[in-house]
Amino acid sequence: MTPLVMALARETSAGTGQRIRVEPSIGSGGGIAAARDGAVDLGLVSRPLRPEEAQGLERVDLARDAVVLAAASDVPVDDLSSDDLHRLYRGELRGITLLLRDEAESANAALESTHPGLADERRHSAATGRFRVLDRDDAMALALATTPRAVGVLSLAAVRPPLRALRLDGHAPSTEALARGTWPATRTLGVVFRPERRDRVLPFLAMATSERGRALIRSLGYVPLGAGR
Amino acid sequence: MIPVALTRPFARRLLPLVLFASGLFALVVPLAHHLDARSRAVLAARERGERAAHLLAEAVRDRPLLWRYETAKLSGRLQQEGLLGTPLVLRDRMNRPVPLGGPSPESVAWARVPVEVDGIPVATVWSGAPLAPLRSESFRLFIGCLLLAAVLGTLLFLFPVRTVARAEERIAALLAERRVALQDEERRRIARELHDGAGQALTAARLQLLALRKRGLAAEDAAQVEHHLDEALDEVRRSTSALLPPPLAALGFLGAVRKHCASYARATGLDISLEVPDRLPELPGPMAAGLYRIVQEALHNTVRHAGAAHASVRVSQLPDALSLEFDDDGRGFPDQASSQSIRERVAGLGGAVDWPDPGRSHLRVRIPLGGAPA
Repeated sequence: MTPLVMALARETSAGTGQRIRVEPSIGSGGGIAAARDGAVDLGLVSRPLRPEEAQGLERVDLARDAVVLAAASDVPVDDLSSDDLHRLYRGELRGITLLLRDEAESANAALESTHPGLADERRHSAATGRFRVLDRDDAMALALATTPRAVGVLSLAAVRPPLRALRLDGHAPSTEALARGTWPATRTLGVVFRPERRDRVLPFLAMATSERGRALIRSLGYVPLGAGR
Repeated sequence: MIPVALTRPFARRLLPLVLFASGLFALVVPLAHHLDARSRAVLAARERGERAAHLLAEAVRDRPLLWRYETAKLSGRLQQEGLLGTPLVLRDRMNRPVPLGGPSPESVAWARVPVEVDGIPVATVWSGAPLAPLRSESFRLFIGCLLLAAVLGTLLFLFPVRTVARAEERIAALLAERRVALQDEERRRIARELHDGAGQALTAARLQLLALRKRGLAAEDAAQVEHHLDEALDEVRRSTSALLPPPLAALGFLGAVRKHCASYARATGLDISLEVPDRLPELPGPMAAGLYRIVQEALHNTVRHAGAAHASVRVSQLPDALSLEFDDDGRGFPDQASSQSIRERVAGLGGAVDWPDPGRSHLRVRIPLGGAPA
């Protein structure tokens, strides 16, 4: 999500002259806590807020992101069935190395919500210590590019050559499929802020929800969501 | 047996020392182990803290402002490295706690490790070593050491005490032997004095009396004086004979007893029946001498006090003891003094005397073969 917000911040600064500093992602929980403490004006979130988290904060959703299984070109498959996916998470799919995402990553929840039982299999595999665990899209992309025959969960927006997104049960992940709603594994990207800081964040939100901002979001591989909720 | 009081005083002095040493062992070993294990646990905690600090320093370097809000991912990384199995507390530069999860037991020894980025302290990691398992282990070791100390203490106490007890028995036996030797020496000296002094004087008086009778002393008076002198001389001879050391070395116990009974019967006219086995195991010197003296004493008392015509002496060997039985047909020994000497000799040999009727001379003496002084 960091590349998206950095692009929007740059665009906002260019238009208003306001200086915006973007810190690397610290996860949704961290973003919420930092926004509540006032350590940042905007906290980045990629999952629904729990009731206790939502108190005292306002949320604006900016984009929808597709979560995919990404692989390098040396992986000898293009399409995975649900059964293959479960076998992959159990370490039973020979010839492919699975790279896991950190437990706190919202990308896990997005994919696992569409495949019951997958979360338990991931936790079991992670507990064996046989699988490498990564916590950010950039770290996962780098690991996928440098690990032989590796497959891992990644944001579609972060899939760049030599990586590719695998088909899942015959469905090809794409921005269009995300926009049509035919790709099931998605997550909503947004920001949270304290109401008393609305004036400070308003230029950023205005730009992000403007047509220019929506075009920028789309160009980065996301589906813009428009006005805040 | 002569009492020699060594064992009890030695045991009284040794017991507090053994208790102190055993208690010291039971306490010091577990305590030293506990301190050493605690030191090693704190070192291990420090090592875990340093590894955690290294990971945290990377997180701070990546996100200098917001690292403390990334606790879920930080905890995940620490968990992945196996660093959250023991207590781990993180505080930022303002000393605010940063929750990481993990156990928080009640009793912990902490190791403090600073988290530094480019030499600048940004946080502090407190890595804990749980003390409850150490205490439990040390307590088990204490119980084990206590049992071992009890066993070792018992051995340390019993071995020296038993050695001293054996030495005490040996010393008592040597003293008894020495006493017999001294008694024999003293008797020899008295006999010599009687023989050379009173004996010679009485003999001279008798000879002189004979000369006087030849020169006209009334024969009846002279005979009476002569009779008294003969009695005195016989008494001196018997006394000197009784005082002389027994001929045990030359004849052995049975031979010496046979010879004494025969010569005593001839000298006194007492009819003595002697019943002894053909052979006996070799008796220790003090035991042979003591038994011989008892026979002497009993026969002497019979002649002197009991007025008996017949006496019997029976020596027999039992499985673990030697038995001496004496009896006569007289009126017994009239006073305690005459029997006291025999009782003391039997006691000195570690034996027992059975004297059922103090008004008679019948007595049974039993001397243990194994318990007699060597």
